[in-house]
Amino acid sequence: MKRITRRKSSSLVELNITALLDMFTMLLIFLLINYSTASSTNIKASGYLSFPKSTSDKKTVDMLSIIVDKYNIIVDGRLVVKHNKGILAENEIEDGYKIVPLYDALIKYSEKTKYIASQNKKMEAEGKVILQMDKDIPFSLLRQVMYTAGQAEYNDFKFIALKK
Amino acid sequence: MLNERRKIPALNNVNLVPLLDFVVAVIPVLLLSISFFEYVSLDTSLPVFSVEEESVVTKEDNKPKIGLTVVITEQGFMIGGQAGLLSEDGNSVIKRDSKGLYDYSTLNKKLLEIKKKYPEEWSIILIPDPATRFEDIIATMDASREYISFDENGRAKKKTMFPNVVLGGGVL
Repeated sequence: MKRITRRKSSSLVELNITALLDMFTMLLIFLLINYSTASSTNIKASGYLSFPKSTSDKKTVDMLSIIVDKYNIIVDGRLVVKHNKGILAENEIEDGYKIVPLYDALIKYSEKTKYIASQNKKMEAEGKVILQMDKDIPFSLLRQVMYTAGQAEYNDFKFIALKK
Repeated sequence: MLNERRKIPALNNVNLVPLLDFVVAVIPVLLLSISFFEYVSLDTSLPVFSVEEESVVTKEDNKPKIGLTVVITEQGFMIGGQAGLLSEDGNSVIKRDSKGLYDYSTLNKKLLEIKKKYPEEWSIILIPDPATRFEDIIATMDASREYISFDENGRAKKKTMFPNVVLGGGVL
């Protein structure tokens, strides 16, 4: 059998971290540049939500968001109603277009915004909404969502898409 | 007087560990908050709902002058408007291509012909079929909104065509 001889290190070897620091500095600069151009924080694609692509150049802004993913309709981060491939349950629809749970959620949000606007003159209740929709959602559901939002005094819409 | 020159000692073994600690802490924060995809927005107004024979347009700004309309159907696009407005070759129907996809480039060309004929027109009404996918509506909006022209140097430049897109809601 061979004998393994262990050498005792005479002193602690100093690591040269300059090259590592160079790399981190470059990475930090790159991330900071991209961070400044990053779009609004409340837009996030997920497994249930894939955005269409567009040639538009308009940047997104932060405002009330209605998310219509493959299964759900979400207002301001809260689940409002579920749908099945763009079709809603009959008891959730009124007059063929108005989605009752969505209408109630938007009215509640609108009242809250109006109250804040009455207390804070710098803030305005604008009636604008961004629609984050999955690319496969049929127009029939989009029409119902837009009609309902219109009934709740949200008349200005912005669709969200990925830049081509 | 004699100037005594002192030798500045070389900076040996600067302690970079605190700096490295800071950078390592900042990078994960930036990586979590960064968005690697750029999102854009497209403006539109409420759907136009026609009640019986009365046509209702929600915003005064969006009142069409020539009533340029693109109907998106299962078969393709149909361009229409008041007083039988058609594209110059008289063919207002753009069928899907051989692969079954919507022909956005032909639609863009036909709309450009109309734009040249009516340069003061800025509005367009899209009437999608209820089954039309959101992706196809966005692509049609893109084809209606702008076209690409090339300057003398061959550089591509986007030019506005019909920026006021109104979605047609159908009949109540």
